[in-house]
Amino acid sequence: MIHFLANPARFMRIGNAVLPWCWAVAGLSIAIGLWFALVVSPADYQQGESVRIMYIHVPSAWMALGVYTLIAVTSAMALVWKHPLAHLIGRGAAPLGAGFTLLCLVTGALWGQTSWGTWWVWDARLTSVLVLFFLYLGYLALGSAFDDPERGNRAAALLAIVGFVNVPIIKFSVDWWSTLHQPASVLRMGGPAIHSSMLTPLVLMAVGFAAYFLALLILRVRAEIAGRKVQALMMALQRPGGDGHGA
Amino acid sequence: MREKERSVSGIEDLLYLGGYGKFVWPAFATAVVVLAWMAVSTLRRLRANESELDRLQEAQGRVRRPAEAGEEAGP
Repeated sequence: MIHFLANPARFMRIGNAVLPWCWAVAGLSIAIGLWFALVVSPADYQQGESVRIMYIHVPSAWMALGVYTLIAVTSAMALVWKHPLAHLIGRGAAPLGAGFTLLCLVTGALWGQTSWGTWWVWDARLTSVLVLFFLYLGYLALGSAFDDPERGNRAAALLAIVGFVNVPIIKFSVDWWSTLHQPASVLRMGGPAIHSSMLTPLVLMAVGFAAYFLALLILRVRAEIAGRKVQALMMALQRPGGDGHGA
Repeated sequence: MREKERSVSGIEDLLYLGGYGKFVWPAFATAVVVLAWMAVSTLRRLRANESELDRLQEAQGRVRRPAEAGEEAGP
């Protein structure tokens, strides 16, 4: 499947067919999810109405980790199999992943102020998510830091693979260290420890965020493919007597 | 009239959210801003790259046509 999608023309053909469905799923899931999150779901018996921040915070945290995992996998594919699309998917996904991580951090600070009485603490979970945000920024900066885009792509891919060690650290930080942050209540052994009235909007928002990400990723990869063609044409036109052949 | 009062109070309750409105609504507003930024930056990048590609492909066509004409006119 991965090798099948590695062809840019095939990826774009499938991507264009999937795109309207992604928009539809994103729109419907987020709209229904918001209705459940703000109106239908009850207040928490301890946290009161502040629990509604969870319906943004948790899906954005899942996306932050999921998108980084995608970048690490495509980076490995780019280095091992030299798939032409792998770097482009990583470069397209990184700004979106950084956006979800920022959203997770900001909503976490707002929720922290209501639950813990502080916007920020340097505990293991919060600090490792901040490191994830910097890894995203580093990946983006490194990818554009070289005159030769191939060298930039390789350096960024290496950073993404090395930085992947942070993903399990984030996931298990609440078990390995004593943190203010609560342990997992959905993705855990023994099933979710959360009532269906809260799980429903959570899952709907997560599906909506994932579909929204996929739609934007398809458009970003299309932009990256066009950008790659622009670079090739520029080089061909700048060659003495260049007529663009081979671009 | 009473129904209208009740709906106004419902909206106020929703905005106030038991005193947590000043934390919950900024969280949702941040989500709107970040998700909108993602879409706007994606569409701007796509439009910029595709219009640049069109411009260069046109320029390439202009360069290639005289070259091809020259080849045909050659000995």
